Amino acid sequence: MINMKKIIIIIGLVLVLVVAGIFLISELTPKPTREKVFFTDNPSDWVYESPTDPAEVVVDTYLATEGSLKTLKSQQDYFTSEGLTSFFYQGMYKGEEFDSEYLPADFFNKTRGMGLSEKRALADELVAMSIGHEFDPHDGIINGFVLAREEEGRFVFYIFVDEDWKRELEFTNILWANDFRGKISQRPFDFSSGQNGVYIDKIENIGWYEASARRGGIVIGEISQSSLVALMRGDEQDITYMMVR
Amino acid sequence: MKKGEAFTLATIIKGIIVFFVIVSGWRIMADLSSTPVQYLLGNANISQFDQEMQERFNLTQQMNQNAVNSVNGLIFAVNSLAYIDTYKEEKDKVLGLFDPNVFKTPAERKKLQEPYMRSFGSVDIKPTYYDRETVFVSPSATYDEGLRELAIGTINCWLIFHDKDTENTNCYSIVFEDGYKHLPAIDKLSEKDFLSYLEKEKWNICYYLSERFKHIPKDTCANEVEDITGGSWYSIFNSENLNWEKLPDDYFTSREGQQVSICANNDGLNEVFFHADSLGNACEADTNRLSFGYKVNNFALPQEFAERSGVGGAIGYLSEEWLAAYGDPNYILFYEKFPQEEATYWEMDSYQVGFAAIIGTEIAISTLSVITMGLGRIAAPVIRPLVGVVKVGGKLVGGTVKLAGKIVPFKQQMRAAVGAVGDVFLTAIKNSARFILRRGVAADTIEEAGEIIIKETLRKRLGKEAVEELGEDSILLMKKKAAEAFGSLGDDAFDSAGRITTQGREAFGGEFSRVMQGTFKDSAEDRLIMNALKRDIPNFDSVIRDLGTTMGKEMYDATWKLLARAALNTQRTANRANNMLKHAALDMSEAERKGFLIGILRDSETMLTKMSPNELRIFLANQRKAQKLILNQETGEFILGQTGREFTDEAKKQALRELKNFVTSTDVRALVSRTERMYLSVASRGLDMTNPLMKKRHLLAMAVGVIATRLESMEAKYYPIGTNAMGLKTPYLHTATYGEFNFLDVSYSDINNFTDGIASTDQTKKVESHKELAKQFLEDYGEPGLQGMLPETNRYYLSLTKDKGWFDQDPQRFHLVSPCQTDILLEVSSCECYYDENEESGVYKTGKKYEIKDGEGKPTGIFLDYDHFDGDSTMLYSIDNEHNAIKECHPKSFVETVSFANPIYTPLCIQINPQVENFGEDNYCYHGISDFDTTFKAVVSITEVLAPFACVVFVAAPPLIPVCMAGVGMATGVSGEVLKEAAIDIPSQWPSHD
Repeated sequence: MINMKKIIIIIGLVLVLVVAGIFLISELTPKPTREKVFFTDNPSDWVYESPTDPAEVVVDTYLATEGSLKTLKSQQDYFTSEGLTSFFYQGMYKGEEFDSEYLPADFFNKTRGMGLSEKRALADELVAMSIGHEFDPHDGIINGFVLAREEEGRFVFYIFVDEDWKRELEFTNILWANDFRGKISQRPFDFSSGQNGVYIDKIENIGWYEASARRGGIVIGEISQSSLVALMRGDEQDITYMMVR
Repeated sequence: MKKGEAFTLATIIKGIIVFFVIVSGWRIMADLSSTPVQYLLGNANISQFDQEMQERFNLTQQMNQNAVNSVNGLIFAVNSLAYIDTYKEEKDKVLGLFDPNVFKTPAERKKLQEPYMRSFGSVDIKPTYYDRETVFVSPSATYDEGLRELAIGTINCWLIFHDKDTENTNCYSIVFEDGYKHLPAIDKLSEKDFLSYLEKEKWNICYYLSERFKHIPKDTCANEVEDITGGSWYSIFNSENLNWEKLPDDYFTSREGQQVSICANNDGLNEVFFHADSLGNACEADTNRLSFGYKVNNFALPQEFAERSGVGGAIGYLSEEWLAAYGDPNYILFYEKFPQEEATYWEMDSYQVGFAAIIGTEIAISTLSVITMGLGRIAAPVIRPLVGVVKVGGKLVGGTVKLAGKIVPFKQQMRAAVGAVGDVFLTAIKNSARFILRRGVAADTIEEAGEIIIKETLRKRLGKEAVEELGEDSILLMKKKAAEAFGSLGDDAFDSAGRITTQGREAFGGEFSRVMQGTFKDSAEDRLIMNALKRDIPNFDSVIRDLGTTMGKEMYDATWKLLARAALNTQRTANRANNMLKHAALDMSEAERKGFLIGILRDSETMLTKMSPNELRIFLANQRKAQKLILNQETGEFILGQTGREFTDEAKKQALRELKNFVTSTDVRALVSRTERMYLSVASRGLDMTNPLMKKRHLLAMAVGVIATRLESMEAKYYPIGTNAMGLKTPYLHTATYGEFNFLDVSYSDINNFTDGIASTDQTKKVESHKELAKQFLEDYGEPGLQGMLPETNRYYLSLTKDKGWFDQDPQRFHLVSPCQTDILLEVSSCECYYDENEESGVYKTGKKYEIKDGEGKPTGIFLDYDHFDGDSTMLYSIDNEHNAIKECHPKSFVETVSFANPIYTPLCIQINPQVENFGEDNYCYHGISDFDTTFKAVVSITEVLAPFACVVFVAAPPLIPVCMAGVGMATGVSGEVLKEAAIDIPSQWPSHD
C-alpha cells in the first residue's frame, strides 16, 4: 500500500523545490538590459513647459545630466568620477557686462531709498537679458543658457536661446577657442531645432576647461572673430552675447 | 537808597546768581559727566551701578562663549568637509554606505557617522546633501495639484531608480511653498491611501506626467504605477513598493513638513521612500563625490544693541556709541587676512581717516607684525623666577624673589613658573598623548608622532609665529630702539627677558619634567598613558627632560616675542600719537587744528565712558605705556620724538606753543574742563591712570594716546595670520588665531600625491599616519590644544557666498562680522578667480619657482615653489610679512573689464553660505547689496559753546575724504566747501546688512 502521507510529503517537497527553482532561476537569469525610460539623450525632451507657469519653459538640467549637475547662479558644478568640473557664465548686453541678469545702469538711482522687495519687483520689470535655465520665450527679455553634459568621457555643450533672443539680435554666431589668444572657431547658430519657443544647438570637441588657468571658452551672440579681437584689445563694442568659461 | 538796603539787594542778587550757578553747574556736571561721576556726586544708585557691571560681565562671558562655540563649530565643519572630500573612502563611511558583501546594522552605520556630527554649546554641525532635485509646489496650487506632484515625484523616482539599475538613489525634494493651504488634508492620508490614489488615478496622473515629459508614454507610466502599487502580476512576491515608515505621524503639518524627500533604496525590497529632509541620506545613495556638504546651525557672533544706553537703561550700546569706544565690531572672523575694503562699512571716524594721511612712516621695525595686547601680564610671572639663576658649586641657585615680604624659595619659584602656564601645556600634552595612544598607532610611530605632536602642541600654545624669523640682528635692533624709546619704562619683565640665563632654562626643564611625571599619576588612564609612553619611547625620562629644556627655550623665545610685540605696539601707539600732535601743531591751519583737537578730546571721552570696566582695564593697561612715551614724566612736556620726520628744536618749541595755546584758548576751555573731569572720574573707578600730571596740556597727550590705541586695535585685524588659518578679532585684544594643526609635517604635495595614487612609500606612510591622527583630531576637536585647521583644508580657498538675487554679489574671501546670527551651509565647489600672476605686485602662481625680493630689489633668499594648490588647479597667492603664502582669489569686478585676455583660475574652494533669514538692522554678518545711501551717524556733537566748530562728517567712497562743514578742512588740506559738495555717498551702514 502506498503510504499517502509519504506521497503528500514528496509532492509538497517537489512543489516547494519547483517554486524555489523558478524563483532562483528568475533571480539569477540576467535580465535584458532595460532601456532608460526617465533619462533621455534627446535635448528636446529636456525642454518643457514649467508646471507652475505655462508661459515659462524650463531646461531640466537634472533630466539632462542624470542628476550630475548642480546649477548655481552664474556657475554650474558638474560631478563626474574624475572629480568636479565647474563652468562659469557671464554676458554682455549692448556693450555692458553682467553676471546672470542685465539691469540698466540707472536702476540703482531709481531704487535709491527703496526696500529690498520693492527693488526686486522693479528689477523684474527692468531686466533686459538673463542667463539661466528658465525661459519666457515671449516676454521681451533675451534668455540664453549653455548646458555642459558629459558624453563618452568628454564634455559637450548644448546652447539654448529663446524667441526673444532670435528676434532681438541681428545675428547669432558661436565662437569657441581653447585659448582666445590663439585659434578661434566660428559658425552661425543653427535655429533649425528646438521647441516651445526655445532653440537648441550643440558644440563639441573643445577642451579649454582642462587647462589651468583657463583662457578659452564659448561665446554666443552678436559677435565675430574681429569684434572679439577688438574686445581683447580693450575696445568698447556695442554688442550682446553670453559666454561660458 | 540807603547803604544798608543796597548792600542787601546786591547780596540777594549775588546770592541768587550764586545759587543759579551752583545749581546749573551741578546739573551741567551731572549731565555731562559719566556714570561714575554721577555716583560720586550722589546722583545715581550705586547698587544699580554694581549690578550693571555684573550683568555686563555676565553678558560678556556669555557672548564670548557663543562666539567661540560658533567659530569652533564652523572650523569643525570646514575640517570635516576637507577631510572627507580629500579621502574618498571616508565619504563612504560618512554616508553610511557599506560594502555590499558586508551588512552593517543601523547602529553600526550610525557609529560610523557620529565622528562627523558634533555640537558645541547650542551650535550643531552635521552633513547635508545636495544630490536631489527640488520641485516647488506654489502656494496657489490646489489639493489635487499638490498630491499630483507627490505622485509624479514618486513615479519619476521609481523610473530613475530603474534607469540606474536599482542603485540607491536620492531623487527629489518636494517643497510646498509658504501659503500652500492643503497640507493638513495631505496629512490625513496614510501610505495605503496614497497608494490607492496612485492606482485609482494613474491614467490621470500619467497624462500630466507625459504632457510634461513627452518621452515617457502614458502606458509606460501606468505600468510603472502598477509596480509601485503592487498591482502587477508578480505582486505575490513583492507587493507595493512605497514606504512611508520613515515619515513621522502628522508630518506634513509639522514644522519641517513643508519639505519632503523622495528616494529609492534597494535594500531587499526595492522601494521608494518618503522621508524628512533631516534624515539626510536615508536611502544611503552613493552620492556623487561633492553633492555633499555641511550645515552649521545656530552660528552666532553676538553683538548687543540697545535702543538707548546710560544709567538705568538697557545694557548695550547704540551702534555709534560702540564704534566710538571700540572702533570695530565686537567680533570679526576672517580667513588668512581680513579683506580691507570691508571695514569701510563701519569706519565712521573722520580722524581715523585723517590719520591715514597724517601717520606717514612708522619706525622701521617692519619685519615684525601682529601685535599682542595685554599678553605682557602672562609673561611676568613666568619670567621673574628665571632671572638671575646661576650655578653655585654645581647647584642651581635662584635669584631673589620676594612675595609679601618673604623670600620665595627657588623651588617654589620654578613651580610657579611652570604652574603659570603649566595647566594649558599639560592638558594639551595629556590630550595629545591620549590622542596617540587611543588610536593604537604602532610603537615607532608613537615616538615620532608623540615627539612631534607634543612639540607642535607646545608651539601652538606658545604662539604661532616662529621666532627664527626675527634673527639675531633684528632682535638687537629692536632691543636698541625699544630701550631708547622706553627709557625709564622699567618694565621688569621686558628688562629681565634679556637676562634669562641658560641655567634658568635648565632649571625650568627640570621642574617641568617633575611636574609632567607627577601629572600622569592621577587616574588609571593617566598611569596607563605614562606606562605606554615609557614603554614606547626609549629614554623617556631624558626625552621629557629635553622637552622641558626645549619648552623653556621656546617660552623664552616666545615671551621675548610677546614682549617685543607689546613693546612694538606701544612704540607704534606712541608714534602715532606724536604724529597726530605734531601734525596738529604745525601742519594745520588754526581752524583745522581746533576742529581736529576738539574731535580728539570728544572721542577719547566717548571711548572712556562707553567701555565696560573690565574692558577699560585691558584697554588702559596698554595705552598707559604709550602715554609714558608721549609725555616726559618729570616735566610733563610732550615728547615729540622719533617719528620719521625730524623736528628741529625750534619746530618743537613752536609745536608745543601752538598746542598750549589751543588748550588755554577760551573757545575750547569748556570742553577741556569737561574732558579733564572725565579722566578724573576714570581714575576714581580705581583704574590706575598712572599719570599724575593732570594738567590741561597733558590731557591732550592722553586723549591722543587713547585714540592712537584704538587705531592700533583696529589696524590689528589687517595683519595676516598666516596660511590656512582663521582669526577671531575682538577690540583691544589680539587676534585669536586658529592655525594649522599638522601632526607629522605632512605637506600638501604629500597629500595630493597620496590622493592621486602616485605617492612614494614614504609619503604614503606619512599620510596614512597623519590621516589616522587627523581623524582622532576631529573626534576630539575643541579640547584645549586641539583647535585649528587641518592641512587638508589648505587645498581649498574659503570663500563667502554673498547675496544672490536680482543682483549677484561677488563671492569674497571668507569673513563674518558681528552682529551675525545664522545657519551656515558649506559645500565644496570651484571658485572663479580673476587677475593673473604679477611678480611686481607680489602675486604669484602655484607650481612655479620664484625668487622673492625685498623692497630694495635684493633677493631675500626665499624661493617659492608652492605646491599645486589642490593637486589639480593652479592658484594665485601673495606673500605676507612673515613669508606665509596667502591665497588670492579676486572676483570679476576686481578687473576693470572682463576681457577675453584675462585668464581665470578655478581652484577648489569651500563655499561658506550664511542662510540668514532676517537680515536687518541687527544682523549684519557681511555687507550686503547697497547703493550706499545710508547715512551713518555723521555729526560730531559739540555743544553750543563750540558751535563754530561743528562738523558734519561724511565718509565718501574711496578715496575716503573727511569733511567738516563751516569751512573747516582736514589733513588733506582741501577746503570745506568743495568737500561738502563732493560728499554724497556714505558707505557706512553697519550694523545694517543692506
